Amino acid sequence: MKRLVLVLALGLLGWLRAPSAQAQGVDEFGSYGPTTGRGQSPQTGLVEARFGVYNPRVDKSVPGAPYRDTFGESNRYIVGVEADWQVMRIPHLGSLGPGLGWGYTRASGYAALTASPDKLSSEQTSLTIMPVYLVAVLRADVLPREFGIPIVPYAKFGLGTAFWWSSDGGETAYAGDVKGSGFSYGPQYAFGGMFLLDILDRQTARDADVSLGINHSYLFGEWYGSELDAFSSNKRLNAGAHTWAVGLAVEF
Amino acid sequence: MFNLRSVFAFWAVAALFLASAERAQAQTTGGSVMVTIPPTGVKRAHQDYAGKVLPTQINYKDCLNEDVFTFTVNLGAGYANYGLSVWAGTSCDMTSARPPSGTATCWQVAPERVPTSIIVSDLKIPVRTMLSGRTGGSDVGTGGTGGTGGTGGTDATGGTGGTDTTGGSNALGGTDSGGGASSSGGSASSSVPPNAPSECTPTSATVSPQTLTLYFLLLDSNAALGGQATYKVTFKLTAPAPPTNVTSGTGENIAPVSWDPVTTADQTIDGYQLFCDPGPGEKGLAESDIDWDPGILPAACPDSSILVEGARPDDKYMCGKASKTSTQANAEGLINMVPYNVAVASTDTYRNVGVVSAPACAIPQPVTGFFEAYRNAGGAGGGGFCSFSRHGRPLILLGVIGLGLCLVLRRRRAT
Repeated sequence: MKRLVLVLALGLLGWLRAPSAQAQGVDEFGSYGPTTGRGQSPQTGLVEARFGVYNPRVDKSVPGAPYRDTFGESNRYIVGVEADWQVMRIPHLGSLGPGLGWGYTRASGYAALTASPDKLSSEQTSLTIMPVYLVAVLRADVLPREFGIPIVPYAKFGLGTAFWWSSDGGETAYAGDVKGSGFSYGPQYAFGGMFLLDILDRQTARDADVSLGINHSYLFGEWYGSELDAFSSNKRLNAGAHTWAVGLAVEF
Repeated sequence: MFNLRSVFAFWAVAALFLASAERAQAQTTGGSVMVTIPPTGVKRAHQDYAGKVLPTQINYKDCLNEDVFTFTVNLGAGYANYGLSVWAGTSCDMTSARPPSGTATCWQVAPERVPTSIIVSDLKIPVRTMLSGRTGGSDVGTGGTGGTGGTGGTDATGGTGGTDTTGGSNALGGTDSGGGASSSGGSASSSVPPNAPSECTPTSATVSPQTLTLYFLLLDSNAALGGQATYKVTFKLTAPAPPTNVTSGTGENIAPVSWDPVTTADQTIDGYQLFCDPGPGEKGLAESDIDWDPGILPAACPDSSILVEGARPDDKYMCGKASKTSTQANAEGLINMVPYNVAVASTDTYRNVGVVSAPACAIPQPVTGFFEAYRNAGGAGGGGFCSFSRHGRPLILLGVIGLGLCLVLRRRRAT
């Protein structure tokens, strides 16, 4: 299982990371090639593949509950990716830098009959949300680096936006002459922790570093909030959420 | 073992084979006078192209609409000693394959003419004439009952017309049952309307496209061959059977329609078309005799005389389409509170549209989707991705973006 997780993590980055021009590799004697003083290749960034629940806070921005009434109360899910650039290294703490994320989620249901709102029609109605965010990311990897504890707490703060569009019967929805699409924006923040997978198979982790430039791989879980209501304006559909995500991350 | 010489020999033979295959479309063989059909020498009067159909393909509608092929034929030196005639069938360059031979397998599709120049550019061959000589079970006829020279084509057509009637009856009878079979699984090919011209009816149960070869022959007064070219067309006169279990729901100005997928041996199936009675739009409603009141929801749909199971409705009743992997689609362009009969037909890569399924009833009416519900609740979002409300505090957003950019630039300068 641990090998599978590592392989998945390596595959995620494999296509992103071109082979180094320097002579590095793994042969029958193990890893070879240039490394940093800590025995690792240089570390510049991190990519995440994410999955989680996403119930947008649409109903917080209007009286009533149009989202819940249309799509019900069951959870909706989101998939996404994030790439972080670890611009700055803070001694005895961790890395700091910008991160750019993208996600995709969709809720669909059947539209209610206007004449009998308690009855559903056969016409599908949907809301698709594509959140994008730019955040500053602080990852405190001092614990594994200096204390051997395979946990990296982190925090993110920045600005998020979400493009959204609604459709009825497969076509873009309209209410009167207002088109059912737009975007909303607001602050975005997250707190989470990453579990360092390298400790499960140190040799494979070392080989991945030498042959692919992957320094570390992690399983992570985070709670995040996106207040995408145009800074408390009720003029935008609040497509943000307070929710959690889990995923895999690799540092390179 | 292999050596270089045998490898070269193999590839030379392969290249020769491929080159000959390339020329097969308009091939010149036999006789002493060159006869060729240039690649640009084939025109169609009103082929149902729809973007995909090749010039060599003939579908049911081409036959129904009496499409015409116009050929340009180039002749070589010595042509003046011969008459030019066009035949369809098998091995038509053989005298025994042409009438009046008792074993004829060809029928004449263009009357003999005496070429007056080296280029014959107005050789018109109607699709129906091409298809007229087929008989049941085969794409080739048993030949006309006579006819020589200029009247041969007419005789041949007339002669095989009788055979077609037989074949056509068989086909109609058989495939009408196929229409019934469609409702029990749709394994057969689609039926042909009872009023279809005999030339346009299938003469066998095969559901795959069939090939027909045209022979452009230079013949002397003794019917001896002076030169020839061949041209192959493919025809398919039936579409796959319609889907089964067609049901319809309620939507606003649409009718969500679903069905069970067709299971058919016909490999050319490529989608579905939805038909509505009344036809879509105000025009469709105006042409119908439906008594309509926008304030009253009808209880049921009246029986349709147009969307009858097994019938092939006019294109003006088409109200939607779907890909071959779909089992649902929306009938569009409907008017709320109007009762619509909705049926589904299969289509194929020859752009044949099959007969329709048993119709379902749909009565569109206003619905409230998510966005409308959101706006009704007082939500002010929407208006498009480029919308930027003056009240949306965009300065905060722009300010944060600008601050971020400044920090990044400052950091880069410092390093």
